[in-house]
Order: sequence, then C-alpha cells, then structure tokens
Amino acid sequence: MKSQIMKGLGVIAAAAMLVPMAACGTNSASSSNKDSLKGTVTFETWNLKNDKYTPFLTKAIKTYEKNHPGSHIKWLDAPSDGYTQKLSTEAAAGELPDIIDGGPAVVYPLAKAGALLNLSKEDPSAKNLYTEGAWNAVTFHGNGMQVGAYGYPWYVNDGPMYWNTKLMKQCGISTDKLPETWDEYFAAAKTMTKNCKNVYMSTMIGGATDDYASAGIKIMNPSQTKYIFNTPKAVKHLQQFVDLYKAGGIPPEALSATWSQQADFFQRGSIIAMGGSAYSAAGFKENAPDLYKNLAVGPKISDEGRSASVSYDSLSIAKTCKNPKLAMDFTRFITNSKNQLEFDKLSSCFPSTKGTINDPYFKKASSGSDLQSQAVKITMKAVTKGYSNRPPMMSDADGWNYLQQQAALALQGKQTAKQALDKAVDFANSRLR
Amino acid sequence: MQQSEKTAPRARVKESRREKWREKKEARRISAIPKQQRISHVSASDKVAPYLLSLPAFLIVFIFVFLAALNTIRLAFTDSTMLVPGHFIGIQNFLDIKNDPYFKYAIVNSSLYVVCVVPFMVILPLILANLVRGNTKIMDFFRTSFYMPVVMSAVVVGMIWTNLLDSHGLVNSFFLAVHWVQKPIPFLTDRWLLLFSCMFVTIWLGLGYYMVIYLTALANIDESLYEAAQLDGCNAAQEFIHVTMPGCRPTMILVMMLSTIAAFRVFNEVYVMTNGLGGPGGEDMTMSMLIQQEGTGLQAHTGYASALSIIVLLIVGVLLIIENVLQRRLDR
Repeated sequence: MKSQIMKGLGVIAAAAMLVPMAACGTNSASSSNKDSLKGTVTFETWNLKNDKYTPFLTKAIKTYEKNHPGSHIKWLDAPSDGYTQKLSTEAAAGELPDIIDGGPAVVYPLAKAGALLNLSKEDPSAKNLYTEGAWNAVTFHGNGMQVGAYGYPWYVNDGPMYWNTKLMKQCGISTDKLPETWDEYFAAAKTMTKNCKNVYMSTMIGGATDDYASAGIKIMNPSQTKYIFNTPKAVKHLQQFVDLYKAGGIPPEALSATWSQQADFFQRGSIIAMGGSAYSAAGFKENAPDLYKNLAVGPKISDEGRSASVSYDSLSIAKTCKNPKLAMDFTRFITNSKNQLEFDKLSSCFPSTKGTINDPYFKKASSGSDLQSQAVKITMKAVTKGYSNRPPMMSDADGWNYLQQQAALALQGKQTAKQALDKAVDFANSRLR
Repeated sequence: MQQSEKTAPRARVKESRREKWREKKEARRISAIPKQQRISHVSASDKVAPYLLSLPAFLIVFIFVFLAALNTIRLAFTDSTMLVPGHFIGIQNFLDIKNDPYFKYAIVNSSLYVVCVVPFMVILPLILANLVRGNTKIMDFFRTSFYMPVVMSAVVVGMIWTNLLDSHGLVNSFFLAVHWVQKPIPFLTDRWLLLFSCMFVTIWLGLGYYMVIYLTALANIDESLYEAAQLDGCNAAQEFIHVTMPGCRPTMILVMMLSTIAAFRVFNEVYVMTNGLGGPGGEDMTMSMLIQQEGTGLQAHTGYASALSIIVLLIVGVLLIIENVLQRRLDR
C-alpha cells in the first residue's frame, strides 16, 4: 500500500515536472519560429532592376527587414536575355538563388528536376491567398513529379482583342457585334476574303495552344501525363486556318511572325484584328493616331466564354535554400495584396491575390468610356475568370516553336492538318518524358 | 637604274654566304666547348620559365576548349538534359538524328550555304580590296564604308534586311511601284528565297572583313610584277588574274577555310531573319540553329545537341581536309 502511494506520488511529481517542460517546449517552438525568420536569403528577379521597379522593391525589402530584425534579403536581378540559361546552369550546379522569379515555363522544369520546394506541402495555407486560376497555374502533376504548387503566384496578365473597324466596314464585316467565338471569327474572315484583297484577318495560324484551348479543345489529359490536342475537333479547327490561308485571309509573314510584327501589321492597316495587352491603346494612340480613331475592343476569341490565355508570373523557393521559412515568409510578403497592388500600378499588370482586383484603383481604371478603360475592363474579367491553357512544358520555346512550324507547313499545303497536329503532339509528348 | 638592279642580286648572294659562314663559325665554337660547360650556363629556371609562362594560356585552352570538347563527346552518348545528368545510351542519339526531319533541313541548308556563299566570299572581297587599295582619302572613305557592316550588330543587320525585304518593305514596294512584279516577292516567306536572302546578307556582312585580310595580302605583292605585266601589255582584268590572284593565293586559301567554317556554322543572320523559327515550318533551319534549339533552355536535350555538335565538327573537319588536299594538289 505504501509502495502504491509512493508510486502515485512519483507519477504526480513526474507529471508536475512535465507540465513546465511542455510549456518550455511551446516557448522554444515559438522562439525557433522567430529564429527561422533570421538570416539571409537571395531573391532573384527577372529584368526588374531599373528606374521603374527598383524604388518599389528596395522599399518593400527595407520594410520587411525592419519588421523582421535579423533578416536580410539580398536582391539580385538578371537580364531577360539568357535568363533561363542562367537558371539552368545554376540549377545544374545546385546553386539556385533562394527565391526565383519566373513563369510556369521556368518553374515546371525546375520542379520536375526536384530543385524547388513543394508549397502545397511546405505552406498549404498559401493556397487560400491566391485566385484559383493563379494557384492552378503553378500546380503541376505527372511524370514522376510530386503533385503540388511550386510557386507563389505574383503578377498576372492578359488582354483584349483590338479591331480595326474601318477595315471591317470596308470588307463588309458588321461592326455592331464584334466576333467573340471562333465560328463568328471564321465567318467574318470569309466575308473579308470575298470583299477585300491584300487585307488579312489576323496573324493567328493555329500555331499556339491558345488557339485550340479557346476552342474548347483539351491540350493535356487531366493528370498532365499526355498531350491530346490532335483530336478530330482540333484537326477541324486547324483546317479552318488552312482554308483561310488558302483564301488569302492570313498574311504569309504570319507563318513565322513575332508579336512585334503582328503589331506592325496592325498599325499599318494590313490586318483587321490583333490580340494586345490592356494598355496597348496608349501605344496605338501615340504611334498610329489614325488607326486609334477607328479601333474597337472586344474579348479574345473563345468558345468557352472565358480567356484561355492568362499568363502568370510566380516566385518559387529553391530546395537548396538554407532559410526556407524566411524565404517563404518574404515571398508571401512581396506577393501580398498590398504589394501586388503597388507593383501592378507600376507594371500595368493585374493581381493574383484574392479580392485585390476589386480595389478602387482597378475600378477607376475600368470605369471610363475610352478605349483603354474598355480594354482594362475586359482584361479584368479575363484575369478573374480566365485561366492559363499553356502547359508549362509546352510553353518552353521549343515546344511552342514546333507547333507553330507544323501549323505553318499545314497552311502551306506541305502536310495535312492531322499530320501537323499528330507530329506536334508526338513532339510534345517526347518532351514530357 | 638598270645597273643597280643588276648589282642587287649579287649583293644578296654575298650577304647570304657571309651569314652561312657566320653560322658555321658559331657552330664550331660551341662544339669546341666541353659538353658539361655547355650545359652549365643554362640554369634550371631558364628551362622551366617557358613552361611557366605558357601555363596560364595552356590552362585556359585546356579547361575551356579541351575539357569542354571532351564533355561534349561524353554527353553525346547520354540522354542527359539540362537539369538531369542522364545515362549512357550508346549511339542512340546518333540514330535519332537520322529520323529528325529538322536535321535533314539543317544539313541541306548548311551545305548549300557553303556551296553558295564560299565562292563569293573568296572572290568578291578580293575584287573589292583591289578596287579600294591606295592611300587617297576617297579610298579611306570606301574602305571604312565597306567595313561598316562588320562592326554592326548581327541583330541590327537582320532587322534592316527584314524590313527591306518583307512584303511591304522597300524592295517589294519599289518593284511594285515600277510594275516589275504584280505581287510582292516572298523573300521572307518562301523556303528557298528566304535562304538565298540570308546568304545575301551573310555575303554583305562578310565582304568588309575579308576585304581587310586581302588588303594586307595585296600590300605584300611586289609592285614590280604589276609593272612587268603592264610592260607585257596586260589590261586591268589580266593583271588581276595573272598577278593579283596568284599573289594572294595563300590568303585566298585562308579565306576559303575561314568562310567555309563560318558558312557551315551560320546562325545569326538566319536566326534574326526567321524570327528564331527557322522560316515557315522550320525549313530554313541551319545546323547551328538546330543545336541551339535542342541545346538551350531549361528543357534542353543536351545529349542530343552534343551529338549534333559532333556531326558538325566532323563535317567541318572533312571539308577542311578536302580543301587542304586540293590546295596541295594545286601547289604541285
């Protein structure tokens, strides 16, 4: 009995001793959290060290460092030329910067090579901060890759379709309702080729995944393990571009045109429509005032009622980062609603954080009746409801070029639309492995 | 004048005899010195110094040329990508090349480049150099003007010619205005016309560079040969064929070799004029463009690109050997 009492006392004493220890544990955990926000992390951006962005980023970094004593953010900036080459060399050497700026096309191969932190695992609550489209754009699956998000979404962009109403009228196309679906687009193009010579519809040739995704054609299977954009529907869609090219509705230069050439064509009045950014209107006003007077703006051509060509930029954390908590915390800070809004004002971009698009700044920018306000309004809808169809593996320059090259051969009649898409799908699948 | 010309060879013969006599005398003097003494006056540091002085250059060449080349050979037998080291796959990359449609375009285009561009690169700059030799101010102006494209950025050159040759460019606008053509000539959209346009730009770019090389060679041709040709009644064209061309023959061989390597590895002009796509459908792709397409970017197939590089190296090597053999035969 005595020994039982002694045992009981012993248990109570042990329990009593454990309580403060547990408390110590809690204390030490919180202090380690604070400690983990100390140290240095490198933050590499892409072409942002200039008069426009340097003051904003320097101020943001200083604010963060002030609020987190002991933390040091070393900001590096790389020129856009050779940026991916630089990153790949750094990744191969295991010397990636701690925080990396890049779109999904940059993030995907690094994530696939196991060089980035899976944020769905490391910081699961971050998902709630960003819009669904933005979070999906940085979430990758398939091919030996751990499913998850590999970047904090940053700025977002898209744009409307600009239409030259003078040319439209000249070629018998109604300007009352601008074409919004692919059927409307090709119908307008047919009218144009009947009534006009040496005038072209646009430089779109079915050479980009946007052209297919916006027609409701799936680019990849849901598990992102296979490309599937060579369906009969896709072949029919490309065939419409082939027919339009044969009818003289697409300029030959479009077979290997760049965006800047598209703008040249549009500004000199050779093409009726072109996709641009929300703020292109100012450029048209300055560079082509006569054209500006005859411009109308509408949403990008889509059968889905939403844009499939939203582009996202994100900030990823390297697996080699020695202070991952500090890196994640700082990245959350730089991509938070307040900082994104400030950055968007400078860069004419749009935010990826939930609700930021409802800020009075964007409401004001889209409330006017002028062309730019209309363009901003359309783009706001596009970035809110739209998504990125561009599979990150496809938006790598090679995949992109290959699809355009195959479509160009089909337009020239050197192969059928089916052959072009089959080849493009085979090539893209070979890149997935 | 004639007297001095006759005495000059005699003086030269005398001088060379004297030189030989001096050399023999020095050799006899050295052989008279006992071997041990001869060695003793060359210190150890004197022996090591040349090696030490050449070491930095050797290291640079070894690391950045030999090691890099060896690594390329190693990579060619692997399936490595930019971010994944890959595994040994034997000659699979070389077998894959056979089925690559772009390789077929690239090898045809690069070979055509050599066949079409090299003759112009060898002859035209020589004619140009012959025309602008001399020390007058107007010749200085022309030399500078012809050399100007060499110092211009290839991107700028590409943009200038793209703007000149596109369907709304100056060239087509002129042809349409004078009714020489009914519709624009597809300089930049037809496979062959685009390739020939690129060749034209390459020749335009290279003229000034090779002209400068030829100017140096022309300066070394003995003026008396031209005087003799004139006395024999040669006109300008005959002088060029019988005096200038033989006088510049070693330089012509050098230019031929340099321009062959450059033509087979052409990149900048084609890249810029085709917007990096290799023309419509990639049909104007060259070997260097294909290597760049496969070997750069985060998803680069470095193994495959290395195999392509080795093919280029072998082809250029074979071309140089052929040129060397031809040169020796001509020398005989």
